[in-house]
Amino acid sequence: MPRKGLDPDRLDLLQGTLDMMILRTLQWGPQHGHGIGQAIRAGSADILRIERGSPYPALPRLEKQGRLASEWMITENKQRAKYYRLTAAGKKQLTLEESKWNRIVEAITRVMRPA
Amino acid sequence: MSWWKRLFSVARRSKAEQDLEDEIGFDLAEEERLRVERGESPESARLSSHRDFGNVSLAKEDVRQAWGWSALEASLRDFRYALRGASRSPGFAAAVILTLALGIGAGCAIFSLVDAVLLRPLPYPGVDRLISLEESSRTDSGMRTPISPARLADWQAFSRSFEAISATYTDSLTDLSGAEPERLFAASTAPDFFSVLGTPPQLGRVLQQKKKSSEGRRRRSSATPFGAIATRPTPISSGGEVSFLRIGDTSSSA
Repeated sequence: MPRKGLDPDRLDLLQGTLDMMILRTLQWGPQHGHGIGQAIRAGSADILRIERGSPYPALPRLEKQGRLASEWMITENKQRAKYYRLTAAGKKQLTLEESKWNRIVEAITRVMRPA
Repeated sequence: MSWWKRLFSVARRSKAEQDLEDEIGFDLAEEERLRVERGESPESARLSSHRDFGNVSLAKEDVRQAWGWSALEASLRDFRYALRGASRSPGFAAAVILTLALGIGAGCAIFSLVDAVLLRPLPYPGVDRLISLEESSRTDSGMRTPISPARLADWQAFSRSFEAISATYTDSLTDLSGAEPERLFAASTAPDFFSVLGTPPQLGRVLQQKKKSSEGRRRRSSATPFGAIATRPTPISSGGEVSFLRIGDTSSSA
């Protein structure tokens, strides 16, 4: 849930890109919601405006679509946390969305910087 | 949904609700722990963890929406709200419920009538070609007079507009076959009545027309009445004999 007017240097998320970034983050192994959010923020060098609560609605949706599976596990600090991992369908979806994303970036770049 | 399935879904629901609570609780605690690790004071870490998360209830609501059960839940909430409102002002609620009940009831009653009279077709073949003929006085158009058998015979002989014409006299009879006399709504019919309607009688047999007769009404009281349809609360059993009395007439049987 991006809030407007908080930090002018941060960018709102493009529609539909959060799911892709969540899948991408989980490529390196199972992670809990907090870790997913942190990885995305860190990966974007804190430019993207993502609140810590933002991944949570996306996670059950992706799980329902069969792209994620979840499991309660104990963290290194002996706390119970819900870990998400990529399913085979999730990996396939990630490849698909990545190539689609690359084509979009390429197309928009062409328009903005004609050769 | 059967009640145990619903119970199961409620159980699943509260489990998911607990999981959500735990999951977001873990997020808040984890953020707090990391902030303390970075040197924030526990109090400030707790506050900024909450602040940084965003709106917790809103996030939970979004998650619930992602579960896809919200429509049912919202209607349940609406229902509970309506009940609370009704119990707060029972007089007003009673007035509203009564108004609705009367409105719906009246609508139903009117529709039942319209359905029976106008919409549902009569149970005869070729209903669209069926017409009810009446004779009325030229001077007093409100007066309907019964047709005599002789007049019916004339109509049958001279009419060019109709395939066939038949007639009935309706009558009120008293059924004397049971322990208690019963009122019958009866109709004496011309011999070809059932063939003109194109439907067989539900019970009994149709008496065949021996000859074109203009003395139908008189023959009724003779040994072979030319036909009768009767309706009454209890159905007349097949094969049983019914004896009835016409008001102001001698007893006869059919």
